[in-house]
Amino acid sequence: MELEQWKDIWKKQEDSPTPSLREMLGKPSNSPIAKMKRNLIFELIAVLIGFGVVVVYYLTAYKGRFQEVGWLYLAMMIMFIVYFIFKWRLLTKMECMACEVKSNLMKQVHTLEKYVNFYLIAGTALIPIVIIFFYVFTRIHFPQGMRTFPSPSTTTSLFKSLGILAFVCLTSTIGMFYINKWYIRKLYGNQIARLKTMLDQLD
Amino acid sequence: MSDPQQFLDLVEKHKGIVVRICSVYAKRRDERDDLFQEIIVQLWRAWPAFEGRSQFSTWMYRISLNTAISGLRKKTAPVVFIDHDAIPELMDPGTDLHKEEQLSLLYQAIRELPEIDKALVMLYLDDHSYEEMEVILGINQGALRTKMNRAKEKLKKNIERIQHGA
Repeated sequence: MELEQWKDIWKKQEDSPTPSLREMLGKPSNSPIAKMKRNLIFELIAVLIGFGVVVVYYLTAYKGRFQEVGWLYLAMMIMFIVYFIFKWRLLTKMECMACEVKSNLMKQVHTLEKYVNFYLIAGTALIPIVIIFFYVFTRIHFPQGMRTFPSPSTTTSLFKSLGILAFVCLTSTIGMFYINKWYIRKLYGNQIARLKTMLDQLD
Repeated sequence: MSDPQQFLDLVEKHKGIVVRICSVYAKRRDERDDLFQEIIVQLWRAWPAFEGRSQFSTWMYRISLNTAISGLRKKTAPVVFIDHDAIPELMDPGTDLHKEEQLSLLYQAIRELPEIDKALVMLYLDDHSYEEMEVILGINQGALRTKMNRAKEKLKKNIERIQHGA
């Protein structure tokens, strides 16, 4: 049978019954991007509540002695809000359902890669910031034996102390980079690969 | 463009496009229902920006394809739609098949194509011109013709393979 005959069969097919269209209009989208947006909102709420409690606790407890920890968490909370806004804007840009199929796919690949890179950098950059903060913090507030890392003293040189700090920062950051990379690939890797395969088919 | 009734009338008139896209891109019944609903939601969200520069059916095809091919779907084992042993006529490449069985075979052959080829073949079967295909897919007509020939060849091979029960 020739393709033209198959075309006749295709065209003569009867539409199967569908549910009420009107009822569907008010339903929320379940597209991957809509789900990512909903997850991001949950993430924001969890961070605001969790970090908010820690901020209030450290700013008020111990007669305000450890309020630097509270300020650190407040700074991280602000950074997370900036991170949230950036991710939200990328997600909004990612979707262009009324665009041509090719430009929609290109837009999705480009924005998703940007989103993933931002996720990776932001998640990794937090590690050295927190380690350096606690190095300085424990040096100010705790005696030698209780500090996170050995501080410069009669037995430990400044060079050795900073060397240990640099080593811990570097290994933790590199370790976290690869953990984040693995996790992000697990989350978005298949989707990016799938979109790229379709783009290759269009090129 | 915000009149829901006008929107519903137009979608009702052309909903066959959505039904066919869902049948091709989603394997299971529940996935088809989910995709159908998602396409209607996306069409409704895009409706206020529809300026009527292209035909409604072209605009609808574009949004439906975008929704179908860019959505994440659960990985499921491919569903066998035709039991070759139960339908001996399928072993014969003749035209004795009932219409429904033929249609089922055609769907199976399309589903086995790569994602973009599925779209090309559907546009061909729905008799869209190359100009319309360019507006929907965003690739120039020269490239479209080449890709279309390849997609049609693959479809033919799939049909023959299924008919011969390979």
